[in-house]
Amino acid sequence: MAAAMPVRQQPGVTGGRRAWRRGLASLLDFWRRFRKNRLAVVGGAVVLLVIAMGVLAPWIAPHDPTQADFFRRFRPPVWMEGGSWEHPLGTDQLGRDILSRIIWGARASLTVGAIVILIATTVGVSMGLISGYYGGRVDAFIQRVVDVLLSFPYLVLAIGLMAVMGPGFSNMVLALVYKEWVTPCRVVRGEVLAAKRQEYVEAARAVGAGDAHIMWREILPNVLSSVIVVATLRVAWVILMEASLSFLGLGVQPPTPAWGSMVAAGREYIFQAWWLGTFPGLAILVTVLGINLLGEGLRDALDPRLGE
Amino acid sequence: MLQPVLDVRDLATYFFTERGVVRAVDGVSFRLYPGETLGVVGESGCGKSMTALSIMGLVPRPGRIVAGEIRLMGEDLVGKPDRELRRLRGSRMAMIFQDPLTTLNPVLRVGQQVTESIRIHYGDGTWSGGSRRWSWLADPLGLRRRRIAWERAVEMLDKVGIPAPSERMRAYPHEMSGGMRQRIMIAIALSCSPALLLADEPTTALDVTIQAQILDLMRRLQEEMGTSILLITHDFGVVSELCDRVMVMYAGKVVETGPLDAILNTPRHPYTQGLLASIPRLGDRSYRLKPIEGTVPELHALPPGCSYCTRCPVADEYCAAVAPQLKEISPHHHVACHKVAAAPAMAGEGVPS
Amino acid sequence: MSAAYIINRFLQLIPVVFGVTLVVFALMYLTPGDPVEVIFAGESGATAEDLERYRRELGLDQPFHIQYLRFVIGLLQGDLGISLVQRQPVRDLLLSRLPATIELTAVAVLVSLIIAIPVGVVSAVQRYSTLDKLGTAGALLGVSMPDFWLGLVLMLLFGIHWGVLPISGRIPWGMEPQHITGLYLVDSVLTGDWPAFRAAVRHLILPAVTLGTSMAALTMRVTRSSMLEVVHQDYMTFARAKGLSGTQVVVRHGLRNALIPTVTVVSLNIGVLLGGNMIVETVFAWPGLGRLVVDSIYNRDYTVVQAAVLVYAVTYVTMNFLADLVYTLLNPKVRL
Repeated sequence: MAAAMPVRQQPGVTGGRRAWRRGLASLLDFWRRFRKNRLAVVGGAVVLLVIAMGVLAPWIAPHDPTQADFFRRFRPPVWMEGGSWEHPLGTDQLGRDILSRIIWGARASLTVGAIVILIATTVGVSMGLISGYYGGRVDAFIQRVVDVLLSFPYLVLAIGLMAVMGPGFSNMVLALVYKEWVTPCRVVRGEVLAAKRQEYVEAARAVGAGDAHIMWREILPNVLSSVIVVATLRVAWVILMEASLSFLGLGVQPPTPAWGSMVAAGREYIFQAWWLGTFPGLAILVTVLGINLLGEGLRDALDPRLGE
Repeated sequence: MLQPVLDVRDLATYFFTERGVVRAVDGVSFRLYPGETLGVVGESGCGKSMTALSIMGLVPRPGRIVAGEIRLMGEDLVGKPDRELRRLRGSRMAMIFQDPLTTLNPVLRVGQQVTESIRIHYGDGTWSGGSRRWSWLADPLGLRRRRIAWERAVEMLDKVGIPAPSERMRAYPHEMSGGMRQRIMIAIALSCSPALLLADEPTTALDVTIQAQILDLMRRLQEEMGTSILLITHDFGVVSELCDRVMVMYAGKVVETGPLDAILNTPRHPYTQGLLASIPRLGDRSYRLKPIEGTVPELHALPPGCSYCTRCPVADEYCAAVAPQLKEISPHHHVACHKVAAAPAMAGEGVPS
Repeated sequence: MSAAYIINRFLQLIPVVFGVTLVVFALMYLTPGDPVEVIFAGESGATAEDLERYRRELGLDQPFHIQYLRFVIGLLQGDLGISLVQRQPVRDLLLSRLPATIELTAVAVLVSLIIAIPVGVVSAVQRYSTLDKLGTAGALLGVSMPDFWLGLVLMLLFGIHWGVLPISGRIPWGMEPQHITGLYLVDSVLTGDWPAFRAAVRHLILPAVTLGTSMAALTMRVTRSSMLEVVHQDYMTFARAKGLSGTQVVVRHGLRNALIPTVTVVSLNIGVLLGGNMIVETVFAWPGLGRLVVDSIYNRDYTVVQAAVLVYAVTYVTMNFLADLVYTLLNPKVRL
């Protein structure tokens, strides 16, 4: 009988910190299993490399990425006739160094990916917690909104919003967040519904813990690992979407270097220079692949059964 | 002498895993005569299910039969190509499993699942009801085959006691009760009148009252069709209901085998004695349950001697060093134990009825 | 599956479609800038009174809910508005582009399913085999690849480097088959116009491969993982015990079960395909709906964008509805 037990032993009172510690302990466990997955570690290394590239861009890029030079247009990569080490991956239609633009382009992709996922996860997790915890009308309303947002194909909604708001960095973030929060919301809602039936939540409520306390200290730590996995995998998706919007000219605006718009230039000058679009696209592929490997490794480490 | 339906000799099925070789079945020999029921008893993981799957030729990877013979009506099955085994599976030998809920395909109608094996074996010469080789010439679209299979299936459902069989043919498994599903599974297994039925814990997943009905059904059908049954179970109650002879297995080996009466009333192997002593008895509170201490050892790290010596109350160093062989201690009663002479015969504890 | 279930499921669509129209209308309503100014952008003779009169004619002076009501009533009558730039009914514009998009998407979906499902099944059944490893790696690559880049690389290789396939458009100018359905493959077969058929197929290959790759990769992954769960089920062993061959067991007993989760996941990802459609049509200059949307954004032709977004959303909702029906057909347990 919960009521007969001494109050101090109730998980609802001392358990908040304990629940977080429990969450962290399972995260450590997670890391131990994760390390054994070679592909996931490779993916993690790729991701770290790309992040380093973005952060250190001003110091490691050989040239100014926006520096146009009419006399150096369409220089081929170094291994081709006419190429030189000065521009290892060649130059584009304005004579800008492609390698430098790829290095700087990592910034656009990573910032959009990180900011969108950060906002979307915060919004989505809160919505999911509220929706799953309170149920009833709040839940019904949020779920209707989710249903409507889910009725738009992802890129279609983003393109529609970009068309209305006009291109640009912050508009793009907004256009992606509009739909992106749905994923963490659904994941968290499902987990909350499952967690609500668990004993520790019942016990916390039995000793009179408040709703906010229960959500923040009891439920959230328990859904943390799935949120992390989902967020990681979704970064890959958001980066693909950012690149797609930039490819269509609706995302990051020139002269800021972005991988998507570089591929668009490659499409435009397809008959002149194959290297314009090939290398930036390869950068997208490698980055997204790395994040996917990392995310799937995290997922398998979280729940070994899932990967089998 | 009567020819045995099934004659297994020195069967060994090993699993080659990353942690080592697991000897799931390790030198098992037995015979099964027409119309006879042999009970195979042991705790889970002792190799009884693997013995059955070895006979069917369905050992899952990474396991395989490494030695021995399995003669079904004189024909050795070990090493036969799958194409030939397929002809025998479902027609000469059939198998039923523990849980009818997971064994029947949830998305297919019962009728489709019952007629399937009849359709496959119709005309391949293995099923007595089937016609001969060139029958497809007279029935190019298989319509006749379908009709015969349907009729036979309805007949089988009727036989296993399904009310309104023609209507039930159109039902899905989840629309039926557990007992019904087990009856369906028995109908499927017996639809081609197999000479041998392997029944792997056929009643374990069922309610006690349903268990009795199913056992009753199996006994009746056996009398009617003359099928030999290899009954795998951990339940001596089921054994005493249905079996003529019993074989007790431990860690992939046969430790004791003999007529039902001898095993239940005068078991000689300490393991058999332990199993019998751990059965609760109805209405006898003075009787103390004696569970066997410990668990079945890991099969890839067995002691060199008797596998049971780690849990045996009478074992000594000799038991741990030298593996005992099966010896006949009284007519048809074999025991593999060094201590047969020393171990007291457990008398009078008898059949849990 | 009962009629009541279908009707019930269909009724559930109504609030969703209502929400979709609201969002689409709000998109347009909130657009900064005045559509009338876009219309008269190129005309110098228009006075302020002209603009005002036109605004009233379009009902742009009305409050939000009246405008929305007029929008919905128009939709119900099949009126999607007038293109601001091309000055013709948006419906006609969309309809003229639809066959190209349908042809491309259908071919991409069909080809990707035909490849992905068998590969997924075989990968699961022969787990850890070379084919499994290749298939899994390929699928991971496929889901990580930006489709516009894949399109570019295919164009560079097949169109420019080897020069074996055309890289843009549906068919060379003047070779179009007689118009019957608007689907060139169908029309050319119906009229027996084999040169047109050949040309249409050649033009389809690269865009269809580009569009189908992510779909195929995704389908393969789902099929493989659901098949992996199925192969160890008791009913698979029991089917073998009946005397079925390995292939028969997989096809008759395994596939039906494995396809149930596959249908759900694939239907949820049709949205990816519809979004990819805009990208791929832009890359290959394919004269379809997606290309029209992108062009209309550049032209600030908002009524066209609005209508096209609506068409995409309704298509997506309908596809998910159909997938739900297929799901209930495959899974007798949810049949009511």
